[in-house]
Amino acid sequence: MLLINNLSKTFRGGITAVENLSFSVEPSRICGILGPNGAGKTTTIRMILNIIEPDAGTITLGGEPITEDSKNSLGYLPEERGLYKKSTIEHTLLYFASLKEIPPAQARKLINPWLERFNLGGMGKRKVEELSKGNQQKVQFIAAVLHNPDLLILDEPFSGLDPLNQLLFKDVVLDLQKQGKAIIFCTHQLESAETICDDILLMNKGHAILNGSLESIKQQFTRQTLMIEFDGNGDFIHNLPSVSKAFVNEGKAEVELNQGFTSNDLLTEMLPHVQIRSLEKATPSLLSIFTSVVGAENLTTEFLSQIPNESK
Amino acid sequence: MKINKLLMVARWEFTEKIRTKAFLVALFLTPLLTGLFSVLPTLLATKESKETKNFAFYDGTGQLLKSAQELLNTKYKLSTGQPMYQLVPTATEASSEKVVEVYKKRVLNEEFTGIFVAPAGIEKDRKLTYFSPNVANVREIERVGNAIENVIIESQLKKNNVDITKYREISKSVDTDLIKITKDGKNEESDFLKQFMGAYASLFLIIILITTTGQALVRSLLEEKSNRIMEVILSSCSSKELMFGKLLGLGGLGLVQGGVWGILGIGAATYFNTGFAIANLPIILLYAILGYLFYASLMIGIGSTATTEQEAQNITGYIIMLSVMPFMFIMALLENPNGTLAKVLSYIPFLTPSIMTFRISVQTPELWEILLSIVVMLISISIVIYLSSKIFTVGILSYGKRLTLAEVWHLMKSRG
Repeated sequence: MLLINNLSKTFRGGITAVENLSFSVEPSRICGILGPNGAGKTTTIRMILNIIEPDAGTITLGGEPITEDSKNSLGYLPEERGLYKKSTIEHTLLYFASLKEIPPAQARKLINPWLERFNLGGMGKRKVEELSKGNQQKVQFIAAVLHNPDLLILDEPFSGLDPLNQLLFKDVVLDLQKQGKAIIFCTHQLESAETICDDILLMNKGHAILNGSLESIKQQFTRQTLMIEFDGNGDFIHNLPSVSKAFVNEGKAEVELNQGFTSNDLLTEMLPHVQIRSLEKATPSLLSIFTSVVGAENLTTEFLSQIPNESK
Repeated sequence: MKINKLLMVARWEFTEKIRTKAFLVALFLTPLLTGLFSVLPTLLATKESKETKNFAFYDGTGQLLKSAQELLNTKYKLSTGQPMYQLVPTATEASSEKVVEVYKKRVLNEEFTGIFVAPAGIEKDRKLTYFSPNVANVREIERVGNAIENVIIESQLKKNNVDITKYREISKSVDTDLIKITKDGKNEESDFLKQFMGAYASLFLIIILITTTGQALVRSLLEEKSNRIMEVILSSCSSKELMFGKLLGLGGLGLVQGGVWGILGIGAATYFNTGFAIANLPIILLYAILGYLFYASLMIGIGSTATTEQEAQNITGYIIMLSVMPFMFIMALLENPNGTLAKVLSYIPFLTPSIMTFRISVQTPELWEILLSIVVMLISISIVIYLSSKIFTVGILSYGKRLTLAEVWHLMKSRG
């Protein structure tokens, strides 16, 4: 769907915002773009939206290079929330739809189902300023999806929402995914990225540091390390065929397996000797992957300060 | 550039703004204020007082007061038939300084408007002194002064055995009737006041129209920028579609505003029978549109670099100061509407629309001047739009830090 190849952008004054960036977003997949402020996320998005021109590289949407025309098949929810305060919901949505060249009659038909989906049924005539912040965010979201875009770019769609509305938004996003939309999901919230994204692009200082499906990334970083708790003497573990390395303590062992062995092999070998209380495979979180890849010293302090808050 | 997207932006700007209270208030309040500003001061200045004004009069010669009072009485009367000015004699035994000292308090108590001191030697050195908390009521001071001058002259003439009635006959002043010649050959009775009011009102309105619409443009731009609607819009249309859509939409709004004001203006002009020629309206309207396009594209370009309301106000403030400059030249222009100054100012694009509007309402300039000024405007507008659109494209995406002058200069030089 969206294919980005060797994209670079340097601003006047020599600030390189994006350098040699390549990634792709496929239909029915959610690609999370993650990274600290200044990583080049906004510049990348603006280039996809054809708001600014790249210095080098190509962006194609459905096989075609992006032009002004492709704006009609893009939907964008920016991070900052804002709408025309004095206008009604309906007028606002009709205006944004008209800019995507949706005829008013058709847009009117599309508005109500969306309002109802977001529990705003019958509120079309209300002025935006009369709505709560969460409801304004819903209107903004509808404005981004009303014209049924092929590619949807959501920048922090869940921030500032109460838990109930977060669930609602997440549901809607997953629905859109099922309908075959390609979705770009920008966020600082590593946890929500972990639960919703199929693919991950981690950016830092204009570069892609990590890119691929969430699964493959996790696999790549899953240490083949098991934590086992048991009753009895564990000295024998060192000599088991499946074990390459082991640290054995009283009733506890941290075991690294040999190539080709699984946790089941280890269990079968251990069962005759001791009573097993628990076995845990150490799966790394995105946070631990990120810190190990980027190196904590390379992340801006701003990003680091967000990590503990949002992974609580 | 997609015209239909441009039109969508224009329609949005037009329909959303025309609904606002601020627009309706401006629509009717501005002409009201214009009326007040242009008519009231002149009305007030020419309006005669309804009460007799009392002046203390120190007559050092002892012969001036009575004749001066008589002269004033014949010349200036209130509508009630009472004298307009009453000269009240002071004691003359003491020196004038002492008299002034005493009467000062009574003036401050508003018993008298002021004190005239005509010292004994006034016939020779012709020095009259006026004491008052307000020495700005020039007209009254002059009237009393003239009366005294007349009395002195006549008494001198009498001493020299000159026939007073003959003198009066000879020294009769000339009264000028004002007839305005118009292009269609009709003679129109006019006077300075009417002339001034018509020209002043159209100048005032055209400046208000241009500046308020320009400001509305920058405000709407800044609103979109600060709440980041800008990015959503730009993900739907190009920056040029946005800019021209805004210029068109708010221009349409200005046209509605100008139309309503025009109708009110015609109504007022007919009602008060001022010298305002309705035939001039189309050409004034054309200058208003040109002026709007010039100032609005200037403001939208420079305004797009602002990141806060404060900055935007500073920027529009400077531009508005440029646009009100014609007020400085009003008197000179009235005196000589086709003089060198008027001709030079007419071709400075910042001033062209207002100066030409003013000149047209005073005395229609030659056709070639009108055509040349329109060409000057069209060229300037093209240049401003060209440069502004370059700044606009980058300006609307800059947050937090305003573009520096150097950066703006760079943008203007860049191609594309």
